[in-house]
Amino acid sequence: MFKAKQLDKLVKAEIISDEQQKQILAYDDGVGGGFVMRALNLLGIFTIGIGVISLVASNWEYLGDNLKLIMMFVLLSGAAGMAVSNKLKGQDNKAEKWLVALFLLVGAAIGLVIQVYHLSGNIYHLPFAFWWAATLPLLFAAKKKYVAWFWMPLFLAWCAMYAGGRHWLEILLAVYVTLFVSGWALSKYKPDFAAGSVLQRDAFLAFYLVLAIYILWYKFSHLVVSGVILLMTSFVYQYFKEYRKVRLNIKFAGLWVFSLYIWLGDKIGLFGTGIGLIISGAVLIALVKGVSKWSKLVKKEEKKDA
Amino acid sequence: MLKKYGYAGLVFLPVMIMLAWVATIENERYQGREVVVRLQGYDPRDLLSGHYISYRINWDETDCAQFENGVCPRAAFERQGRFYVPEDKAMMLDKAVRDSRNKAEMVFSYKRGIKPYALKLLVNGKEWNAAAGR
Repeated sequence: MFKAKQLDKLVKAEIISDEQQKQILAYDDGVGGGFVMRALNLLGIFTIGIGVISLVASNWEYLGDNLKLIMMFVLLSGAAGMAVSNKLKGQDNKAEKWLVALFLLVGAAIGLVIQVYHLSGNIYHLPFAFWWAATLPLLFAAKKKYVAWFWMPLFLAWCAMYAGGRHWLEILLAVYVTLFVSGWALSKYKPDFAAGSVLQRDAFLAFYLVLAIYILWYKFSHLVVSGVILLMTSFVYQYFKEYRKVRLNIKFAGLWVFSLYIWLGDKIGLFGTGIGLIISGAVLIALVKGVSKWSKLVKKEEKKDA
Repeated sequence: MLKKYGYAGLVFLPVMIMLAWVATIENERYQGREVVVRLQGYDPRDLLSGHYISYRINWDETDCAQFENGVCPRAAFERQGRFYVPEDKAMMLDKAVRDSRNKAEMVFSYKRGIKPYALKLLVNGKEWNAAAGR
């Protein structure tokens, strides 16, 4: 959970004592696993899910439809049963991992049903809607964030697929802002519901990505959009003044710098020739360095304020 | 105890939803009777294509006498659809369906008021697997 190097830095900066460092490391050992182990565990579950999908897919010709469906329900019930059984034994971590497996298996099962019954697939976002709707109860069953880490990206991606028509970018931006606020409210007023903070973080990331697409899409209005983003950056900086939220500022600043870079490159024709590309690369590096310097200055200011 | 049952209920709910979905499809397919419609293949320019055949229904060459009052219920069927086949057969069958010299047909389970379900793909009167030489 904690990196020894980071703790060394904190000790040198006299933020924590040697004794506290030892206590933290001892606690870390006791917790077991740490982020890397948890990530590897999740990767293991994900790999099993993908393996099951590919196993079914590669043996497609040799399995009858009924057998495929029976296998599907055995796997679904098995994963659900394992989750409940582990929960009853008090093995919460294992139960949560089985919930993730169940989430992935439901996705595979939807694909299987579509294939077995030759469903049209003309409304391409419908299977995704069915997937998130069918697995919504798992979010309420889960006490940790594992399921939410898979469910939220699915839901947000479905929002992007569903948004259509002339103003899809603006609609998406509004939807993601709403979801970000909902996630924030959930994590504040219902902290037990682990999905809240994941929704807040992922909706923000989705908003950020869509905004970047928006800027690239409407090249002609780069200057206006850059101005708006600069204004937003100022507001966000004012709002998130705390030291721990400084990365958020950097993200916004990075977005603004990126849009400025595209606008500049487009305006002076940097992307047209080899030399232009080299110059544009150097400009990009300089801008990125500028952002990181700016963020360090922000950090220093924060520390001074603290 | 109620908490435990509540947890089990939430965890098994997705399985129940899947079961209800499959049961609904099976029931609807069972209620319908078999009808045969003519197909015309088309290139959907779909990046995901490869393990299914994309088709459109050719109502002009379909025998409408098999439907109520001899009228083809065009609105009840989707304009285009997919029929899933093994990946290594898809390209060959796709060509066969698109070839105007072949007679490509789809057997649907159809009942008025219920979504039709594709059951069998026929190429020159034979099921797709026979036509593909399986």
